[in-house]
Amino acid sequence: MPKPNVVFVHVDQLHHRAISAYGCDDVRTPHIDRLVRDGYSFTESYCAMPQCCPARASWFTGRMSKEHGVVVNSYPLRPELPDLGQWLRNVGYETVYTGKWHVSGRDVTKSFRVLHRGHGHGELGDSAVARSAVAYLKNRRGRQPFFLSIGFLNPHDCCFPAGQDGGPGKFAFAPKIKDRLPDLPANFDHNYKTDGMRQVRNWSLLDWRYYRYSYYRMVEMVDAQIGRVYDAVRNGPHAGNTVFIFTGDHGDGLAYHAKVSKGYLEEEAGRVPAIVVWPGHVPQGRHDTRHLVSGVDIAATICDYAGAPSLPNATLARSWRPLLEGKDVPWRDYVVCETSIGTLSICLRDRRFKSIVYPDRTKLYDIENDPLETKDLADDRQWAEVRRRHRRQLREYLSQIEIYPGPPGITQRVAQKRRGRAALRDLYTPYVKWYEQLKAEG
Amino acid sequence: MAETAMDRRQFLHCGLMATSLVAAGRLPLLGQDRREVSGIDSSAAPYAVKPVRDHLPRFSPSEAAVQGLRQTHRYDIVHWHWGRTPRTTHENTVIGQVTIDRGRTAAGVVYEVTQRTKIGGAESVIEARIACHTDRWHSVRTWRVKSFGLAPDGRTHRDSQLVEEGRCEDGHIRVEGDRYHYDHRAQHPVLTQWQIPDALPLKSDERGEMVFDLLEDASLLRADQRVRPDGKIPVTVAGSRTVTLNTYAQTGRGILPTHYLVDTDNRVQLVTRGFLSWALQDRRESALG
Repeated sequence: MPKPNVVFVHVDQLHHRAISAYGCDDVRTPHIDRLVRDGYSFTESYCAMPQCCPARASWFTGRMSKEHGVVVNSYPLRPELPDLGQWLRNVGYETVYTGKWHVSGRDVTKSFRVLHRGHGHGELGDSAVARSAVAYLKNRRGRQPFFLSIGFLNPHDCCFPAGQDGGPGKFAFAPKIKDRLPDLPANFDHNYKTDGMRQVRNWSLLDWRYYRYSYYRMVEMVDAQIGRVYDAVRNGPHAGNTVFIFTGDHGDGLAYHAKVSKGYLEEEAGRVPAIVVWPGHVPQGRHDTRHLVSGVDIAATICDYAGAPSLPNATLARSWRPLLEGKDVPWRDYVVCETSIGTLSICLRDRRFKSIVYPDRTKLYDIENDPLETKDLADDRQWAEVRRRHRRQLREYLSQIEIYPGPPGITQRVAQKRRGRAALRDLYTPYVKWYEQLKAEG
Repeated sequence: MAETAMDRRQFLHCGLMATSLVAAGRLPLLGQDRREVSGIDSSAAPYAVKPVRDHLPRFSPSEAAVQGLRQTHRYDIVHWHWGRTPRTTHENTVIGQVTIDRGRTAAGVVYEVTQRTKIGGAESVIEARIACHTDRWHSVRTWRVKSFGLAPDGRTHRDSQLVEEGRCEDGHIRVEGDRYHYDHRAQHPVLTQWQIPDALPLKSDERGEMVFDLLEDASLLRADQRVRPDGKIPVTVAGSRTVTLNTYAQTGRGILPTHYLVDTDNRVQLVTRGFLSWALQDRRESALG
């Protein structure tokens, strides 16, 4: 059998619940719904870190953010790490990219042929990105297998209405469509005006609901683009031999816990959809609620299908292929997501519970029974053993990764000034020290 | 006991004071929700022109008087983005043009559209020819859309050319490339975004409403669109001149609230969305058809 083509479609900032096939009544996503019907959904899926550059660097290297060096946006990827584009070229793939790349420190043109670079606003770029992908699928010739990575931006456009003065958002229009605005989520924190994120403290409740309304429309915008690419694959000449993988880099607050944006470790930011479609090879309409999967697995899964060796030192990344082929294989007991935005923290999720560990405290949630994370069980003695187990697993995780101390000369680079501000802050030393302390606990 | 009674009196007094202040709008954060005023959006511009408020002082409404069905409208495509200097929170930049040419053939109304946008240094072009049904909407019947990217030297990018043809009969939409196809099912008359300015306000019902399905770029179906009158607003344009425009608001699946600003001669001067808006630059008689 010839090597399959791989189409990897990713969106930016899609909340894991903002899909109509998964029960959301506030949005209509007929095209993602088709992927759900035609493919295999991993419902317990997490990004490696809830911000664009780190999460994307994890897709393309199979490494966690504290390994690949992109600890927050704009921090450079370790130059010696190969990425999926380079890796698959080595095994005979044509590697092609269109749309948002955003792996800081890595020139996409060194790893992929680039069709279109997209734009920082999905309303501008996503249509052109979809057209470029469809044109490529239509026009390509030759027998070489291809890896086509398509980066749509929406619903990331929601970041701009959440900015100063509501950006271009027409918040004052909200009263005219009040009857169509979604309600607030059940875990909305009504104390946000005093305890909430700074940028939302002056929002009215109607602003929140309009934000959610706009967000869902942005999801519908990108849904149509996804459908367009999916149709070009499924109804075109590559239909029989193409694995179609869909995910998002991270979620969005979407008013859950009265939050917007990302960077923190609650479910709204860290959890992402993950769907694989390949009729005849992957079960259709399957919802896998058992296996915990991570953004680092994308690299391992694509390498597996491409017949490429694993990316070097990708110790945590697991290929989904055995699961997609119905094999009963040993699987990880927990999945990890970490962040360096705001307060340094790590979350560890097992089948039922989730800990969010900060240097000075821990939160514990029963995700199975409290998916909206409304009740912190950390001080409940009944769950002391769960806390201890998570702590052990955290040490195990830290022993498996190669903790990156930061690039050589980081001190000098931190000292460099750009527009009167430090070019980089040293975000490496704090986690290196904390992780070493955690490891030493054992 | 006496202390408790006192507390209750104080509490009631404070409650009454707070209620009257809220009613008077003097407790802004609490009053906001009650009066449904936005707390985040403190812009002075009416919401219908908020995405183009930096462009307005450079915008001169077209006053060209053109009669009849054969008309050409040329709009600037105006992009909203954050300000590039600390002094400006937002800016508008013209990133392209769309020319909408409407004419009539023996078979009915036709449109020819050329849309050019420059995004991140790359120029994208869409050329469309749309033949319409003879219904009162002039809804889409058949179309051909060609898109391609241009390199800085003007040459078409390899592999970027895409040609699709489509047709819409009884709500069934089929779009075909030469190696693939896709289908949509429409519940309402189907219009592209290029036709809506013509439909306003002539196609609205007695309440001034329009209900249709949008076929964006003659490719993507955005179902259940509604356009409703949204009042008159004063808009200050180039030369500090103020013009009063009728507004129509479009809402529906897959679009951010979109506003059409129409002058008294039914010229659609502005169309505002989220990041991309249109500003009428030129209007003339068409040679098409």
